[in-house]
Amino acid sequence: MRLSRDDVLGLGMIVLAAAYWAAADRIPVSLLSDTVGADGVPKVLAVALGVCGGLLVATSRRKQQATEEASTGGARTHLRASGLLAGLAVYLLLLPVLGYPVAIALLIAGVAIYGGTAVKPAVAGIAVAGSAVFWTFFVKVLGVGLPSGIWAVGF
Amino acid sequence: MEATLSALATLTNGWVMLAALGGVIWGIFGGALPGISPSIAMALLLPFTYGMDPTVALVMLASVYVGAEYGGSIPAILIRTPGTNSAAATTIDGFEMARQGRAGEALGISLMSGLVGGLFGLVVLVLATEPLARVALAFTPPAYCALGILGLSVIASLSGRSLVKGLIAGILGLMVATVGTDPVSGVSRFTMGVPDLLSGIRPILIMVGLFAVAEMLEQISKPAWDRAERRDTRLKLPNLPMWRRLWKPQAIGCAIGTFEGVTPGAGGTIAAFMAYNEARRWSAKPDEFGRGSVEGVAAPEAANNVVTATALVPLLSLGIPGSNSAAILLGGFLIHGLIPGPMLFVKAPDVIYGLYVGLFAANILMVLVGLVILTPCIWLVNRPKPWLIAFILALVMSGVYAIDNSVFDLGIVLAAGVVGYVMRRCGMPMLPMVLGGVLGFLVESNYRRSLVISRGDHSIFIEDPVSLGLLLAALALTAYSVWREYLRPQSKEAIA
Repeated sequence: MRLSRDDVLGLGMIVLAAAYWAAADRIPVSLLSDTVGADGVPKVLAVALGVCGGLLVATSRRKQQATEEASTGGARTHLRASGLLAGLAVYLLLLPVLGYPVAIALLIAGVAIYGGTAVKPAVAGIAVAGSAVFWTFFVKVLGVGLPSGIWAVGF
Repeated sequence: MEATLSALATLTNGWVMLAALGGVIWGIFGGALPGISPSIAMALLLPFTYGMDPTVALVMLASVYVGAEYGGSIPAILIRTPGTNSAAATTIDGFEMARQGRAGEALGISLMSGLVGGLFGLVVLVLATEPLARVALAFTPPAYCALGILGLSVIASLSGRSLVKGLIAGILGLMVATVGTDPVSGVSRFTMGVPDLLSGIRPILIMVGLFAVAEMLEQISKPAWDRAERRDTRLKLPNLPMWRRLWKPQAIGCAIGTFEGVTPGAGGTIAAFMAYNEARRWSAKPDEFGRGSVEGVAAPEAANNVVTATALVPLLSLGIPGSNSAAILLGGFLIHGLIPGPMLFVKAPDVIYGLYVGLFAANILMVLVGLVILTPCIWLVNRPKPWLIAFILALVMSGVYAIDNSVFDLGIVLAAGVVGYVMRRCGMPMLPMVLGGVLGFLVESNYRRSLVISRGDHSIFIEDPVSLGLLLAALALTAYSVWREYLRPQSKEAIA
């Protein structure tokens, strides 16, 4: 029996509901607690999510839908999205180390090149200019304390 | 007569007009940046108002509020990223119109609906402050809980093709809202020992992730994603036939915005979603909603701009700040030795009338500033897509960091982006999740406070007349939405 996307989603929600219930059950009881308790509403939500997950599986089984499957693309499209996501994750790791001006310039240039812009000196120029604009606005105008990283002395 | 003269004097005061213009420009830019909420934009200006004349200072702060509430809709329409919570409802049809190459039209409708809403709210503020203040006093914890449930009832009509998926998304949003410190006992819930989670997850982080990051992941994963699309590049204001079509959703937005604005804590987000839902219900073309309906842009935009004025009702008349932005404005009053409340109208009427005139000027200036900046904004989003995505992500990452100076927040946004991407692939609507995330705390905290008051007796929710009325309205709305979406015989057009 082949599982449809809705089957997987419904089953996933049932598993999530069970995990959420278990986590809610571990919330410590406080002496200040009311009649509902800190775990009361989460447990109701867990039950509701489990029921909805079950309903989704049941309706999916009935429909045996095939129409949605065709339109959602294949593994290649997910890979492209995963690549961008990985780039953003690298940005999060580099931000405290390299500092905001360098990290944001690398992010701009990296995403633009990943998106298909040809690698040429202008890319670096635009990225540096963009970084300078963002840095001026957020740090100088808004006074946001963005990370300076290893260049802390210079900024 | 004295009031009229005072108002006229303010209208001809160059400093007041300059303050209104500066406030509106700052507000629009602040509101348009994801992560900079209207209250943050106002708070950033607050220190500069110390040395100003009280009227000039308050007009500037109020103008930031007006500008920021409007500014939030610009990225909502152009890049599917609501700059403020209350602009989330505008993404539904606003971005759809932009995708169809009608960004200029959507921005024009948003701008003019914002003006209509802002001016209507001002009229309400001037004429009905005293009677409406009583509405604010009638709200008790059971009524607030019921108000949140009324807001959640919109989920049924935001669910699209599958009510079950909409409910799942709504529950996921409510689950996100349970993360953090318990509102009654103070114990931590679902924080996994991470201190950053103790204060909960801000709805704006979920919104930016679900909309902006997920949209970028979606865009870059399309096979022919960098192919240029045909779009209009100029702002297009509504013409007379369009105004005839827009008056009804705008009126709905104004009515709902008035009610939500005077209710402390309700705010523009619930108003915008409810206005969208009601506009769809009363529309002659309900099938267009979600597919680029002009009415779907007009209703929420009118609603959230009405709130900028009507949210001042409880502040001016009772001294109750009903939102973060109103609290900042309260700070502006206090800095200048003014205490909002009934006596303010006696002790400093010139400041009150000056504020009214300043709000009027701010709404007019909002349109003028909009006319200048919106066409360049449309030009900006028509740049080559690789650069557009790079700069949107850079803006999002910078703006989100600016909220709390936290790299952890950036991680939450990325996680929400992945969830949004998966939800799209699974055909799950995202707006119910946003609604759940925004309203979850309001509903749970007031539900439990009510039960503390009644010592566990649920009848408190039906004994409170406001609560009962709101719960019945929520029930009726849900029943109608379910009937319309899933049980009503399909129209000939839909069958075709």
